[in-house]
Amino acid sequence: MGGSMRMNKRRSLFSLMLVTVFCAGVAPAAPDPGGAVRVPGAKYLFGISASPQGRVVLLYRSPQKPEGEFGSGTPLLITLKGSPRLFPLHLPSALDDLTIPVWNSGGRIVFLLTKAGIYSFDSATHAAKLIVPGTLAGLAISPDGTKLAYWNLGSTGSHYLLSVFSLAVNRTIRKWNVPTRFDADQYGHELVFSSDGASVLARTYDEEDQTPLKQFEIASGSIRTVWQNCSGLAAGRGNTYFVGDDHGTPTLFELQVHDLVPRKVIAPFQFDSLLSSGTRRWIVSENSRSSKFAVFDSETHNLTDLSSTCENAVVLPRGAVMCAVGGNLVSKGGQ
Amino acid sequence: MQEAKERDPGKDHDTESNLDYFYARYYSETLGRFMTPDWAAAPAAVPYAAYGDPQSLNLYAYVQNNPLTGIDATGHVAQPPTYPYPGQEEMEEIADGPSTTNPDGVIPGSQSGSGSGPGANSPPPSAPGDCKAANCAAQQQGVRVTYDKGVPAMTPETAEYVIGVLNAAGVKSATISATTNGKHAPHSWHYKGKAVDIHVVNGVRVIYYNSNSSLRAAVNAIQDAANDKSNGIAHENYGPAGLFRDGRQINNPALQRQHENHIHLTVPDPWGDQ
Repeated sequence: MGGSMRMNKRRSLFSLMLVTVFCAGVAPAAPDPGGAVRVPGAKYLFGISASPQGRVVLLYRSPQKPEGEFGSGTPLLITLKGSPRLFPLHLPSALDDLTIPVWNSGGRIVFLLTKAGIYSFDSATHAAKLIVPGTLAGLAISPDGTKLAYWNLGSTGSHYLLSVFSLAVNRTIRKWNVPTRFDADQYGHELVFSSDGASVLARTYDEEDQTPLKQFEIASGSIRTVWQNCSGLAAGRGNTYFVGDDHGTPTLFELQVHDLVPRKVIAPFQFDSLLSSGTRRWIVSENSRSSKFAVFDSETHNLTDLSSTCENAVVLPRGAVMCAVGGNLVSKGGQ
Repeated sequence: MQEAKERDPGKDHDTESNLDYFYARYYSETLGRFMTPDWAAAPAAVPYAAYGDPQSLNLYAYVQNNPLTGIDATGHVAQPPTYPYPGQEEMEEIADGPSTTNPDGVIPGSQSGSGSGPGANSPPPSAPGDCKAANCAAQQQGVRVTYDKGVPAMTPETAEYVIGVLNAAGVKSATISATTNGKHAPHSWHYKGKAVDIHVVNGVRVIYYNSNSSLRAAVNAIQDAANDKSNGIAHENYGPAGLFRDGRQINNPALQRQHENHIHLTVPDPWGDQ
């Protein structure tokens, strides 16, 4: 596998030639390199994740417009320093399922999900390695960068396996068998580590008509239901945020690390999906029915609507928003 | 009667340790008991015990040593099965005889406004004396469609197609878990009233597909019918029998895994009439 992961120089040169920079300018309020990039062969971009320093974006590109339940794309690296450059990763495709690549704190190694499993990818050397094979979904990295959490969908029977994988010892150190009793479309397998890294918080499908948010404590293996019906979940800077149903009102809640007790932040909250972005300060919020987007600032609790229609979005570390529209990654200015 | 190990929804066998994983503890199939005593997050003397039931005080016992009648989904508490799971002999029973309503919802033909989706205020598609010919025919053939609690009725066009497919498959009854309700992929046809999720067929949960041959035959028949030109080929036809788009099979293990417990159908050409 390693040989096929190496950057093909001829291909990268070809990709470089195809990059079209419509706007090389930098948004005044957000001095990130936030130009617009056209991705060749793409009509849809998803799973967009920026490195902690904001110099590199990893995303998936699909040659088809988004439609229906099924979206699939192949991973692509874009360097934003100077003129954007595109580097296709010669890895298997991935399902559009609210899973974004996760970076280690140094911003060099990124872990990404494909239909073959989880790969690590060194953004400097372009070396890739399949570290967890299987039919997996959801992906989270612990704050200290030593552990990954993911769902293993491939186990037999009517359950999924929630696993915590230690990158230090290169093996699974904890797993829970979680029933799947939710007999309708299952979109999104969101999970995050708590800010102290001691627990995994996951939106589960183990109820017949609800999707509870549960806390899985790594040391003891204990499980606690945090909220009975959760539609979205993401890590903010310091705290965790989720969208839950509060007596019929969709509400954005905050979970502080010391007690993990839900505290209301915004109600009603018009978005049902959350994705961490950049340094975790900003959370991209999406309404899956209307496809409207907003950016939530976990430091100020401000919510900013993205006025134009995005198909997906990412916020760079200094607050510049990049919006996926068709096969383009377009700067939308700063927060 | 199935063995207990086939009846538990909450465990997976680990070949490294030869133990079964539950939410909270490991179970040894060899020993027939848990490997560690029961515990609770909050301190308690015997947190998951019922003091009137001496068997529950045995912290190592699996389902109070009565695996034929109980399940343990979490590793903590034995409980009677509340809903059938694969490997169990129990099946969900739906009352016989003609039905026009479900306990909390409404089926096409008897819509009384309880739903909130596009079909909620639509004319009944298959009500006696007030229906399109295809739906009247479907009703006469006896297919019975029910809905889970709170699920809005299908739009008339979707109902006509889905009922036609179910009839072509020879299905007696089906229960729908999602129409326009729920969270789906952003571009899902559910939001436009063009898709349904069916999770019970002929009174049996679709998740029994691998263990119940009659259910398997019925589900196969539905997905075959939805791939049959004479019925109209579903744009999306995802279920335990496979993933099909416009009748062509696609391969995606994760998406397949997510459709082992229901059949997702969209109408043919869902772009029409938008």
